[in-house]
Amino acid sequence: MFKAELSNPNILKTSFDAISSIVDEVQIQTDSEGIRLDALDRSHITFVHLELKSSLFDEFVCDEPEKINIDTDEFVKVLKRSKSNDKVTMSLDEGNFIITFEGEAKRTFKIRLIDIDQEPPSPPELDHPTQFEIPFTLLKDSIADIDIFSDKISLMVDGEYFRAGSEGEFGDANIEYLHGEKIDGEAKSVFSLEKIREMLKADKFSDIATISLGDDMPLDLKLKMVSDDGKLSFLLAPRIEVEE
Amino acid sequence: MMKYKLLEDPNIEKSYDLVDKCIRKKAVLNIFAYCKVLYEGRALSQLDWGERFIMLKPDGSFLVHQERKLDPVNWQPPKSRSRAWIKEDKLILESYRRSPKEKLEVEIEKVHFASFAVAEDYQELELAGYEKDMGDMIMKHPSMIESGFTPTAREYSTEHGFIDILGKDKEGNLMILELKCRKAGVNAVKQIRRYLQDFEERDNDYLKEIGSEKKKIRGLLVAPDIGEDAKELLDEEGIEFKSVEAPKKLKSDKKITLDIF
Repeated sequence: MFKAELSNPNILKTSFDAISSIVDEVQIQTDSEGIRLDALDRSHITFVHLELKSSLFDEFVCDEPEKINIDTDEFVKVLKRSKSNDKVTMSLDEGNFIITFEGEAKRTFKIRLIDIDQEPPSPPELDHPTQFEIPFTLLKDSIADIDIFSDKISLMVDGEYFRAGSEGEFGDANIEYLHGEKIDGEAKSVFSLEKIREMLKADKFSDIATISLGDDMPLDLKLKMVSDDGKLSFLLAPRIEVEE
Repeated sequence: MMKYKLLEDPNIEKSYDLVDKCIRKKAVLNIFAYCKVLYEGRALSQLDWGERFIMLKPDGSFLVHQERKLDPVNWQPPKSRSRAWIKEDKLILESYRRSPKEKLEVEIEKVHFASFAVAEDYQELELAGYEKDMGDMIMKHPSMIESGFTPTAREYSTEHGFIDILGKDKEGNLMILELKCRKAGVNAVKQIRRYLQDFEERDNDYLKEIGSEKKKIRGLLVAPDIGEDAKELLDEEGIEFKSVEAPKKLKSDKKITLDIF
């Protein structure tokens, strides 16, 4: 038996806003510790990981581990129907993932489970030389700034600053942020703006983003709930300029 | 993991098992079969019994090919839902889409061969040698048009369509560039003529915006070559021509996947 109850749908909504723009289908794994998912987009550029601990839920029951395979678009469509203070319950019955919203009325949705024959992907093990925190909104704003001129963004960090920049045909944009952390050396990688934008749809997950950067290495972006009950993280492959 | 499976001359049950497994595995299905195809949706079509090639891709694309022509005779786009079942000793493959509501049903009497294949391919086609690349090149090296040329806008919207590149020459005259990646014909010249009219007929705000006094408006056709008729019309209209080859170079910026880390 699996049952998980949340006092509101907001964490699910914001997580799956991002997840559904990255992958069409996911396998949600549940056990007594909570729920988690690992997914890789079709082109193998973005990896996403979500973990919601049982302590986050008002009620959490999971007698034996379950694998819930769903179409992410369908789940998002259902979540969009929730009101921000609806109580949300997720459960399973024969071949269906059941989502109930309780507010003024009790509304129940069933999403058909799909067959996925593949094992969920595991992320590459990376050892980034730098890690620092920046406000989530700063990252989101930087993306909007860069978007004026370019579809690529370069992210850089050194001992003092985190920098985001672009070079476009009509102009450049540069953002500087004094990060105030102890970082030795420098790191820089370039990424697709569109891919970062997909990840940043999860804007209600956390106010702080933890970023790990290396030279021409994937971007590691972690969002952690203040209560430490949940985390959402992404890995994004860089774009690399090759010499002719 | 099994890369592919091929069944020769399978019976209907065996074929069904393979299709079912293929859909679950997110593999590419290929079937050569004697079948009949029904389509219901924006129109109605029927293709009576014959031997055809049926292909189903993991993204939901569904194609039925005959032994002639380039395009499939019936198809459904990506994200269509597929399922299979057996009805009266026939294998039925259905591909369904909700909006617009469309249904393609293939009734199979005899399967000659059926296969599925798990294809790993994370790349997308890169194209070069098109107007977009020409535009990119000109934006990067505007002096290749003429010295002192400064682009000010791309894909500038007018009543008659989008101007490829707008700019100023060194005297501050407005320049309208139309790009063609192949030999330009009369239509390209007519297109510039319409843009010129758009700018000449009214006092366009854009001129003020870029600080160009309404001096002269120059039309410039940029293409590798120009046809005879087009050249005549061009001279008549006082439009200029600049010979530029579209760059046939693929992007130096490479998309890489997480797999290499």
